[in-house]
Amino acid sequence: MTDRALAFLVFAWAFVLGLTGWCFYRLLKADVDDDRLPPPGTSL
Amino acid sequence: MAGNAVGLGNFLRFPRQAVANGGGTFMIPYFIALLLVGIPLMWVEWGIGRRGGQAGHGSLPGQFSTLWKHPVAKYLGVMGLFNTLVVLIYYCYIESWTLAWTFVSVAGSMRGLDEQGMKQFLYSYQNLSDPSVHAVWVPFLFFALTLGLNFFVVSKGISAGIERLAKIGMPILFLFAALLVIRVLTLPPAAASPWEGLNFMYTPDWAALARPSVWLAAAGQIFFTLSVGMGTLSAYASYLRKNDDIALSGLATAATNETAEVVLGGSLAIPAVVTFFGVGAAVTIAQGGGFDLGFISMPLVFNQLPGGAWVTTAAGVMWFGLLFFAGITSSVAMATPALSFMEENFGWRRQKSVAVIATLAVTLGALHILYYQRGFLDEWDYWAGTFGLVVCALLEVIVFVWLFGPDNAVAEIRQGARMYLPPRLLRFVLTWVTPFFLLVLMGWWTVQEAIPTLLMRGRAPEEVAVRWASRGVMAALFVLQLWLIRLAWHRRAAEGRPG
Repeated sequence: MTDRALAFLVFAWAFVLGLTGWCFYRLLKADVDDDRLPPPGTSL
Repeated sequence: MAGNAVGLGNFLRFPRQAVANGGGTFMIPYFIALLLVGIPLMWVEWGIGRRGGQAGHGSLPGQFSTLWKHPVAKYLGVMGLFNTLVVLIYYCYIESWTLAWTFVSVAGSMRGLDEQGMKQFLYSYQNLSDPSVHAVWVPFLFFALTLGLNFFVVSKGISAGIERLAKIGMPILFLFAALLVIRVLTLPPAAASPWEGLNFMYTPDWAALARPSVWLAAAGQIFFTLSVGMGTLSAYASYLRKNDDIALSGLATAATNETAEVVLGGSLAIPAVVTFFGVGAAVTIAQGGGFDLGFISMPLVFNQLPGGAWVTTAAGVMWFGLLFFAGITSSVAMATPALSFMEENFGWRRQKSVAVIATLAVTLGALHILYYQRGFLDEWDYWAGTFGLVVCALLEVIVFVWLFGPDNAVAEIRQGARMYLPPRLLRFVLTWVTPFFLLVLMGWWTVQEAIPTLLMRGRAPEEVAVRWASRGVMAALFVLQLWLIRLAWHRRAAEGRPG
């Protein structure tokens, strides 16, 4: 595989995998935040 | 939502487009179109859907009339019913091929066939006047099975039907695709190595960037792959609550689809074909079309896999199985707007709506099976599945951004957002950049393709009558849906319900 083709492949894969990973990280983080119980000692 | 977006085009259309439009350099206009057209349109459709859903509208006619208080608004929304219903019918026919090919992979009917034999195997299925391989009833049987499965899923509703299908189908799709990619990339070199296939796909052709057709092909691919401009995304989004996130969820949908397309779809068919047949043959095959690539070349590749008959069978089941799951998770979404429209406007129960739409799909789908070779399906694919998407997307942007108001549109998208969206930039892109792209795309397609297609240039004389009949059926569907919208709003007015 030539360096130029490899560079485009890495760019394309990194872009979509990075974007997908970031989105799911944020979604899962937000879900955890939403589901978090109140701090101990506070009434439910 | 991701199930809706990931479809047959991710695995059959994208690799061909990339190879034909500059290889690695295709990714530059492709990603620019994703950022400036695809993702903004994704947010527009989600915004339209969530806003319309608050007023009880699950399809574009009602959703448009919520955003723009004008009697014409609901009629513009016909595009969201027309595109989805028309594409649903012919898409299910193509989906039925993937189901049939999954079965024949298990039966081993394609084992040992050469290229000519494989072509005959496909063309006999597509052409009822050539029963040399398949009996005439076989395509009808698999079409009926496919429609039956689709309507069984949608009859169960969103949660128990479509959501459950996506939860099962999407992981299977990704698993099958990942296993096939690993197998393809670890194949021993034959005519070439699989990495030469990737090299062939990603080698940049800088001159391609100067060709407008490459930019338009990239924008077109983004359109098809994200399922924007159909009305399915807005139908699903109508089930969201007012403060549910659409910004991050819409972006995640687009990103998941891109992973399936670029990482998996781009690493399967072309590298596999190059490995066994070389770069020269891959160019010819790519020019032949996505169906030849998927239904002729890939089974030929599977026949040559080391490991014996069970490897050939397993690869065939995984390939056609993943295509089937990619197809069905998209087609059930296409049925949703029409079903929602009938239920919310005419008070029909789910089962009754499903029965009526299924009857229509069986009847009109049979015409596709009978006249596929004469271009009946091509006409629907072009006018509804290609040109119609751009028209619908342009109407969505005009209604949601220009008529509802750019500030309202931006506020709607940012409502409940789990990510930061810069309001000024978003407003600029939605108001000017996305509509500009859409107008250029529509203008180019009108001149380059729509006019020649309309005038039947280059068509065989024996196809012309069938193609006009195909357009006539589409036109009748369009008028019927306009009439149903009119009837629905008369009923609403009589019942004192807001339109």
